[in-house]
Amino acid sequence: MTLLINPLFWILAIAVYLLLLIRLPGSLTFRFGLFNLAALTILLGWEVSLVALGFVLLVWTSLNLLTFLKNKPNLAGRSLISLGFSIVLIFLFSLHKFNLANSTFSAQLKQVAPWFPAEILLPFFVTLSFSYIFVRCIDLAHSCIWKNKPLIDPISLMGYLMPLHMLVSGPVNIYDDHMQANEKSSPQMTPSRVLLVINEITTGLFYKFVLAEGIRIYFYGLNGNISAIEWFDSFILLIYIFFDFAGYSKIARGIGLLYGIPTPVNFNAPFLATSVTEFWTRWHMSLGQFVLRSFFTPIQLQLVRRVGVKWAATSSIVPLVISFCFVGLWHRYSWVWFLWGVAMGILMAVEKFVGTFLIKYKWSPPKGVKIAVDSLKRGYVFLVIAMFLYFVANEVFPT
Amino acid sequence: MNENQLLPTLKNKIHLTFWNTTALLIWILFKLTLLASMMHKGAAEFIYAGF
Repeated sequence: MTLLINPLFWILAIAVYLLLLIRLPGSLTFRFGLFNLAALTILLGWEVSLVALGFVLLVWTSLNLLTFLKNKPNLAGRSLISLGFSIVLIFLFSLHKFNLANSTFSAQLKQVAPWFPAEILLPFFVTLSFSYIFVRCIDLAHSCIWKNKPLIDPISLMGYLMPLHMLVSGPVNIYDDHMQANEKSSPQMTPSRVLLVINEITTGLFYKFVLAEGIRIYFYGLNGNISAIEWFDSFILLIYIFFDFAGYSKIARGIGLLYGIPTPVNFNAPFLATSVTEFWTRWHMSLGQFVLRSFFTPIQLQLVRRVGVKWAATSSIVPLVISFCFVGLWHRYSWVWFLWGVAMGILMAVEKFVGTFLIKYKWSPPKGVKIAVDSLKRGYVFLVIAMFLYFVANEVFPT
Repeated sequence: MNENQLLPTLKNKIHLTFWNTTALLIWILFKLTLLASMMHKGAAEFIYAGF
């Protein structure tokens, strides 16, 4: 049974909201972190909570040491901790990805390293959607080390890294926003506002359990699994994923609005995009913005400094390909997803060149032609995204 | 007017008018009714669950 139709999840979600309404001492993020920990323990069991708390303490200690050593002359110590932290994080992420890609990975790992607690760690990674925790850790390190933002206490940090309402699949919340939740006075919860939040949550449930499930049952039967065997399947799959993921994101956002905990918007009518580049600013927006601020912008800035502004557009192909390779490998550790990233990066670079060319020659069609061209562009975006999905679908939804 | 167009105008308001509240309640009830008829324990897990 999916987590979001488990009555216990909703009882706990409402309990956390009611507890947050009580004027207890401590900041909002601390109180949320505490109630979140209690809710996770009841929902997932004390073993998962204990491992999660251990992981949070490891991250917190490493970042505390790094920020402490940042202004000290001890360069070797700082580099060592920085390297160690990155290696541990990438190692854990890789374990999780190998486990997702290969069903016998746990047994293979047990044979190679019988001492390694795979039977505890691997289910923990899946239960808590470690891919999202991984990107949150990068965002956290980026804020604390490079942007000199203060590190919050471990309980509040747990509320940022593993929030109950973003447990299933994101969105990727921003550390700076989470920290600022304490500074902002939360909006007064009037009956109208509560009604709007309920509307957001019920729309999310409607997307998933009526529209997405309706599509699945219609095309694949009541107990059938989504798969992409033929080209046409990838069109259905794309629409299904939209209602599934956008529905989930709406539920998470609605609960986040109730709690006053920043929960980013994840979808903004992606099928209205007139280019693939625009599509990625409207689909899974929180991951797109994370990639933009953590990979694309820093790499592009470094490149422009080296090659000059004149070659900025041409050189953008490098950060685009790197960013989308990360997105591909973030989904699954496989050659197919890696090539998906390379191809997507190149396609977006081509779109950039075409766009620059059209601006240069001041091509502006009349209004009627523009509407027709935009409709064709939307068709092109849908076809391209579905086509790319066809090649990677079997990695995520094996037949 | 579809819901996506309706939401931004409503989001900024703290107090809804009587007609807005009624329309929103009907829309929520409509969704919940369909939801109740579609809900079954065999529902597929979220695509990105456990990612």
